[in-house]
Amino acid sequence: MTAVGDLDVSGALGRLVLRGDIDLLVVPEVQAAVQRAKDQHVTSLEVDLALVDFIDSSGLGVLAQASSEFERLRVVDAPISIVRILEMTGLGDLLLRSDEAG
Amino acid sequence: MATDERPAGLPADALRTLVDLGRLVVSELDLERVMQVVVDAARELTGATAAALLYRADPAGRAFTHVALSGVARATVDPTASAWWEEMTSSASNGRPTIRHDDLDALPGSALGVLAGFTAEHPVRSYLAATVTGPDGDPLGALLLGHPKPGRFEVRHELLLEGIVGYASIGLANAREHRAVRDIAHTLQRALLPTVGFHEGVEVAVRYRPAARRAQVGGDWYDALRLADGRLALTVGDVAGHDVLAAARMGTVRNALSVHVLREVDPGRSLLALEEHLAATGQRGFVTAVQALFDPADASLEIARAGHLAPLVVPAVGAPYFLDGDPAPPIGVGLLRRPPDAVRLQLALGDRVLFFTDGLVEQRRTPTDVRMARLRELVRTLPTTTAEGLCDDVLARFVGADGGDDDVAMLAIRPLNLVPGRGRVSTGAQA
Repeated sequence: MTAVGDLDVSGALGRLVLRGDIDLLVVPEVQAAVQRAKDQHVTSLEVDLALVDFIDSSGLGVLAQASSEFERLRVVDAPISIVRILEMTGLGDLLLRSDEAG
Repeated sequence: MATDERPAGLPADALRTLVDLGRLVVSELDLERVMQVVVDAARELTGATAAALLYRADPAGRAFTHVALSGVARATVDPTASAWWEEMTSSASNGRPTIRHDDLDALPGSALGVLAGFTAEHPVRSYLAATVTGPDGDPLGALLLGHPKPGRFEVRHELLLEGIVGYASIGLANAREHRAVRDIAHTLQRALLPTVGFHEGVEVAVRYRPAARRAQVGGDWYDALRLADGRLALTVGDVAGHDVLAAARMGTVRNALSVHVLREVDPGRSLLALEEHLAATGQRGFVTAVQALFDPADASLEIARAGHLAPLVVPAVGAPYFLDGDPAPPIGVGLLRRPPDAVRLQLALGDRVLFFTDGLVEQRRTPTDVRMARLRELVRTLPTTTAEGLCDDVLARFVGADGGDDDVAMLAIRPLNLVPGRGRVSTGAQA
C-alpha cells in the first residue's frame, strides 16, 4: 500500500487503485506499483481511477507507458472529467469498453 | 520615552523572529527578497537604527553588487570595498566572525563612518558587523548594524548576529545558485526555440511561456518550416515535464520531427516517423504533438494530432470552435502504430487557427474541457483580428500574469492572401 495506490494481484490479473492527484510528484510511486505488478507476472492490469481527483500529463504518461508493458491494461471507474482527458489525449482506447467488462 | 533612550535589550519575541527568519530565508529564492528579509530582521532583533546587508555577486569584484538597507537611505552606505572590508575578512578568517565597537568615536584617527561601511552622513557610534560567507567559506558579503549612541550592543547581540548571518549565508547561497540555474535555463530556452520568420501570405504568431516559479524552460515547443514548394509545416508539441531535462529532450524531439517533416511532408506520416525514430533510438517518454500543413496557394490546412488537444479555429465570421474528433495516441510510449488521420480545413482569408499545449488549459481544480470551453468563450469576445493579437490577449487574460503549473506554447496562423505554389498545381479552394 502506498500513499497513492493499492495493488491487488490474483493470478495474472492485477487491480491498481489510485487516489488523489496523479501528478509529477507521485509518478515514481505509480511506476513502482506498476513494476510490482510486472514482478508478480500480471498480464492484465485494471487501473481504478474512481478516487482520483486530478491527473496531469506526467500521470497520463505513466498510464500510457504501462499500457505497452502488459498484454492488457484498462482504466476503470474513471470520473467523467478523467474519461474526457483520456479521450482528448488519444488514450480513449485504454478505457474499459462495455463489451470487455467481465 | 524616545526610541534612542530605550534600553538596548532583546525584543521579547526575538526567538520567534529568528525562527520565522529561518523559515522565510530557506523558502525564498529571490536574491533581493532574501536580502531585505534578513536586513529588516537584523535591525529589529538587535535594536539597531541602521542596518545594511552588502552582497558581492562576483567574488573577484571590488564592489558589492547588491545592497539591502533597513532604517537608512542608500546614500549612507559605501558599497565599495575598503579598509573595513579587509578588517572584517581578516577578522573572520581568524575565527572572529563578528566585530563590535562600542564607540567608533573612540577609535584612533579614522574617517570612521567610511571605514565602518556607513558614510559620515549617518553618524554611527555603536557598531556591529559580521561577514556572510558561502558554504565553501568564501566571503559573500557583510551585515552591518549601527546606532548613533555608544554602547548599544553587547555580547548577546553578537551571538544574535551570528545566528542571523548563518541564515543569511544559506539564503544568499541558495539565491545565487537559483539565479545561476535560471540564467543557464533561459539561455538554453532561447537557443532551443526558433524565431519564426516572415512568411508570405500568412501571419504566423508564436509564444512560449514557462511554468511559473520554475526554471525558465520546459518541454513545450513550436516550429514553422517552409517547404521547397512554398507550403508551411507547423508544429506545436509537448515533451512531458517543465525543467531543464524536459527542455533538452524537447530539443532532440523537435529536431527529429523537423527532419521527418521535411522528408514525409504528410502530417500523419511525419508523426508516425517520429514515433519510430524515438523507439529506434531508445528514447521513451510521453510526447504529444499537432502537426499541420498549410498551403498558401489555397489557404487549406491539414492537421494531424498525436495525443494533443484540438486546436481552436477562429473564423473571421462566426463563432470559434475546437477541431472535432479525438486524436491518435501520444508518441513515445509504444501506442502509436499507424499514421494519425489528418483533418482538412478550408480556411478563408482572415480566419485564424490557434494551436496550443495543455499548459494553457490544464488546471488542478477545473476539468480541462471546462477550461477549453472558457477559452473558446473568451476568444469569442476578443476584438483583435490578428494572430499576434490573439496570442497576446489569450496569454494576458487566460493565463494571467503569474502563469500556471505547466509551460505553455502557442502558435496562431492567419491567411492574408493567396500565394501561388512553386512548381505545384494548386488543388484549388473547395466550396
